[in-house]
Amino acid sequence: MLRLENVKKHYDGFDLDCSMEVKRGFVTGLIGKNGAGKSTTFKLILGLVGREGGHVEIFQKPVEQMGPKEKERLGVVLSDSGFNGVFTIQDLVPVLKNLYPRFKEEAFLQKCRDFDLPIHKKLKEFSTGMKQKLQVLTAISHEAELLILDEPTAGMDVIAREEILDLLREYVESGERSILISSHISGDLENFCDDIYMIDKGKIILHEDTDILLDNYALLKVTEEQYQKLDKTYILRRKKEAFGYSCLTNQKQFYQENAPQIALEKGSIDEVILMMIKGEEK
Amino acid sequence: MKGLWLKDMKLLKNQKSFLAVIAAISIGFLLSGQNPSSVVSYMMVMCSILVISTIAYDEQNNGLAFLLVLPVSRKQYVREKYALGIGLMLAAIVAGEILSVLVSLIKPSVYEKEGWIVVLLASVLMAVLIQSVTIPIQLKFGAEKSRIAMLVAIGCVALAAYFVVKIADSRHMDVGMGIVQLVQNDRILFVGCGLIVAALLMGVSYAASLQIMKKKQF
Repeated sequence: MLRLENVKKHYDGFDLDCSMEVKRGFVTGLIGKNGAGKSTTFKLILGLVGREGGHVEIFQKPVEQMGPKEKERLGVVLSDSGFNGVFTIQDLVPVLKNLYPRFKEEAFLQKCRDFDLPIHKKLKEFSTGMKQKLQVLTAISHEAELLILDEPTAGMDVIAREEILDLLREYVESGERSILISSHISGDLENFCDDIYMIDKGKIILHEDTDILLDNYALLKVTEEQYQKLDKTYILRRKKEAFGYSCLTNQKQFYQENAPQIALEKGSIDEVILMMIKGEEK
Repeated sequence: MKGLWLKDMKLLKNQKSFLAVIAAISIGFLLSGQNPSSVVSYMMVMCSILVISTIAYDEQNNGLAFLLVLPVSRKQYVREKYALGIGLMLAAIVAGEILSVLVSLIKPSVYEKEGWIVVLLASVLMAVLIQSVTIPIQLKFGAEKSRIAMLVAIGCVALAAYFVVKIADSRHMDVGMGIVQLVQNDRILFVGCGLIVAALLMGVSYAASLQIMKKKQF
């Protein structure tokens, strides 16, 4: 569905060099702290900024060749952009109907009502969360095959976030559609994505299936003495702590079996990110 | 492109008060005995400014980036803005003429058929010039910086016109008289020349806007 190969972008004080892939039927997450390069990656994918190297393919076609026909197959949420605030949802319906031949007017309006979005109110009077909901509902209103969602749950309360994620889960149920989603709320992605890319300072520092990430990754809490004796074959990162070291492993079972005396914490995405970014290589 | 067109129509709907002010001033002009063709000219110039306002609306809060992830190419976006400009010009002519006829029912005015075509063509040229300069500038510099760029551009156009007249003067050519003679001797040639100049201006401006949009980063 989507492939980035050694895509490079340079800004003053920031360099992005990114390779990633979103497969058909997959929900792929892109996670990283603010300024890590998530939005730049999205803009490169959508051809909104030029790149200095590498190539981007959507639907097996270089992004430069992507015309309106291909864009009809995309649903996009941008974190810092959207429809002008002077419009109402009612105003947008004929516009969307004419832009997307497969636009489902009734379903779109019904979903807007379900999510308590006022049809006749100007968008500038919407809260941030409401605007994001509208963008997501727009993205799924025309049977897009690939959703590219940059921080789609930003500004939403926990209930709205869960509702939107449920809606997206339902959307990809058929297995024919894919999603690339970014969020700085790792909990959103933990229970939603099939695989996750972690980005930091413009580089992909980890790519893993979510199940593996949650099942096989763990934090070992070891004293200085335990650390010296520890088999470090499967230690990815370590971090100095008051008690000794925290060590990130991607082979939880190995340490459970071979060092049962060591305190072991199940890895959450937040912990993995923290260790991958802040931790040092062994 | 129809979707973009509809979007701009919705945006213009939000400019109701601006349109009402244009209509009110035009009616005022007509009632005060102004030549109807100069009112049409005024309406055309004002309507040309509306194209720029739709681009400014699109650019608000980085909205242009979002428009371009919809099934719209950069080329289509530029093309639609120029089509809108021409559409608004034609609408201003029709609205101005209708208004003139309606006001003349209340207050009959002398309708100078002789001068009509000259003023109308001059208005078209002026409106085309405004659009040709302002659209690429707005696309290149955005809402904030384009104000300064616009002032510089207007200054350049005024300077260019001044030098054309000066050079003509130094060669003992009267530009105004030349135009009047052309109108009197060969009206078809005059209209043809005017339309060719307008088309050239717009063509160059469209090509520049297209390049600007193709290179635009978001």
